[in-house]
Amino acid sequence: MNCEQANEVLMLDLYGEATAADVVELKAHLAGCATCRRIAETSRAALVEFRREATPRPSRKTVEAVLVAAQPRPRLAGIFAQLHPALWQAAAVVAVALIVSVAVRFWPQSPIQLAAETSLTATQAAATETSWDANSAALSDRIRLAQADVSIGSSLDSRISGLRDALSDLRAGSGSF
Amino acid sequence: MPDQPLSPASNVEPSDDALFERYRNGDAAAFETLLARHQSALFGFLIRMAGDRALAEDLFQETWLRVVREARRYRAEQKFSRWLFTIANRLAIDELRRRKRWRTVSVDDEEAAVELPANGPSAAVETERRQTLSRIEAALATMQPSLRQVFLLREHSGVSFKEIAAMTDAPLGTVLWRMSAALKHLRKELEADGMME
Repeated sequence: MNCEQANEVLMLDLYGEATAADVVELKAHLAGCATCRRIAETSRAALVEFRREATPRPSRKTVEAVLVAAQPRPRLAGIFAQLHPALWQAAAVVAVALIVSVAVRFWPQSPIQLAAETSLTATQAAATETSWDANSAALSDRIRLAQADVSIGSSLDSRISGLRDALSDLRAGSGSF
Repeated sequence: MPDQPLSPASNVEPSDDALFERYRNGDAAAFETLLARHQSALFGFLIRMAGDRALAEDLFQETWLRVVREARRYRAEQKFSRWLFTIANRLAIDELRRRKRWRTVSVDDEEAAVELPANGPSAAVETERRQTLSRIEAALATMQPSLRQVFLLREHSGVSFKEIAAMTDAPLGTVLWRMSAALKHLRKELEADGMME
């Protein structure tokens, strides 16, 4: 080990980073080299002096500013976890009320149900219901008539077709007249 | 500031990584513990790098704010103290390069709160202590920045020379040479003052 190598190992040894084998070699070198031995001794002494001095601390104001800035922002799950049980119950009641109101609003309604919401009288509601039924019956009649018309039409078509056939037969047989 | 393994069965304090993980999960007290554990070493490094208490306070604050902002990017396999001092070192170097100035810490600075023995030193001891401190600060102030950087990182951060080599993008041999040169400078200053025989 030369002086340059000894110097490197000395630095590592000052902080406990040198291997056992390197330390053995360093000691052997220092035993025979007065210059390196003095460097080793004064280096250790300088570190002792340096470490004897207390380390300054940051001001309280600075530390507090860091702590304020480092406050974790609560995540959504964290917010829910912090809710009081009573708040959970209240939230559940509100949620059920919302669901019911939405369901009632969009459920299919009869005129009587509608009357309850539109402030119609019972008589008006009954009349509207009757009128609704009457309209439905009239519409059914029209459908039946239309179906009958279709039936008659198809009957006429078959008759015309029969006459056309008969006429063809007559023309074919006209020579025999 | 060596990391300690987390051992729930004993009274061993939680490691830096365990504390930081707890902080990332919303535990503010874990961050406070982490800050208390590293504040002295980090501030010591910054004030001696900057040579200016006000600047050191700013850098200290900015370092921790970076830690908070980049918390999600921290990887557990990386040693926390190394990560912390890498951030601090980068900020300090950038700021000092920007300012192009190096100042010493005044020992008369009333705000310079230093840890003192609980029973308090006598006047003579206090005077001697201040003289030693003054000499060391003067030695650091006149030290080449790259030497001071290595010396302070090794003294304050507790990270190995190998890690410092990685942090400063320098070969291990160069880092060891800088450390040796820094100590030589410190020795010379202290010997000139008759503080070392």
